[in-house]
Amino acid sequence: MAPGLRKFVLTVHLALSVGWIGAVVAYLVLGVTAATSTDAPTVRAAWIAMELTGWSAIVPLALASLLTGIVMSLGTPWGLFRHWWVLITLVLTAFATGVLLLHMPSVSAVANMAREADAAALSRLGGDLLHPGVGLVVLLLITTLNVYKPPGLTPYGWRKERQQRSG
Amino acid sequence: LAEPPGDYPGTPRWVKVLGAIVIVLVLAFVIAHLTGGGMRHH
Repeated sequence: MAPGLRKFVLTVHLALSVGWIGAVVAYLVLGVTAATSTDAPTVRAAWIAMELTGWSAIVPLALASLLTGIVMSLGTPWGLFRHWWVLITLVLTAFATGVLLLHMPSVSAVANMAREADAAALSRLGGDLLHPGVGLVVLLLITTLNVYKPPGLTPYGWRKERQQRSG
Repeated sequence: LAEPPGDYPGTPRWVKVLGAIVIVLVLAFVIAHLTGGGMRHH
């Protein structure tokens, strides 16, 4: 990948990834509000906003971040499977995106319940802390790996490096 | 260039530590999920 294009893709990837974290923080705030508020309209509004935030912000940002991350890896000498930090980042990002896609239909179901529920039913809805909480930890872990880039080649990366040196 | 001597030096320690932490986190997440620690209506 040409240096100019690489910087552009990196900029897009960073913006998408930071946006993903920010959207999860917003979702977490709504999840805490839904879990702790005793005001029925607030709980209803929180769940509807969680559904919107999830489908309209978190899911697109997660998919785009995963895609641009793969493009970045394949278009640079880092590769996708050569360095442990890249490989672990890929696995964690794919895992987080997979859990997100499996979880969002449940969020929609609860949001639909919240739209029609009375005050008593809304008080029993609760919030959603586990998924955004764990998701945020995983995203911060990925961010740390991407900033520090701890050294270490995978067995595949080691073989490729030997081939390149001997070739 | 000559081929570098030696075999694969092994998996770095930080990968093993991080792997253990991630496995514990995933197990805790799955257990919390299955025992209703997530959404009540999930």
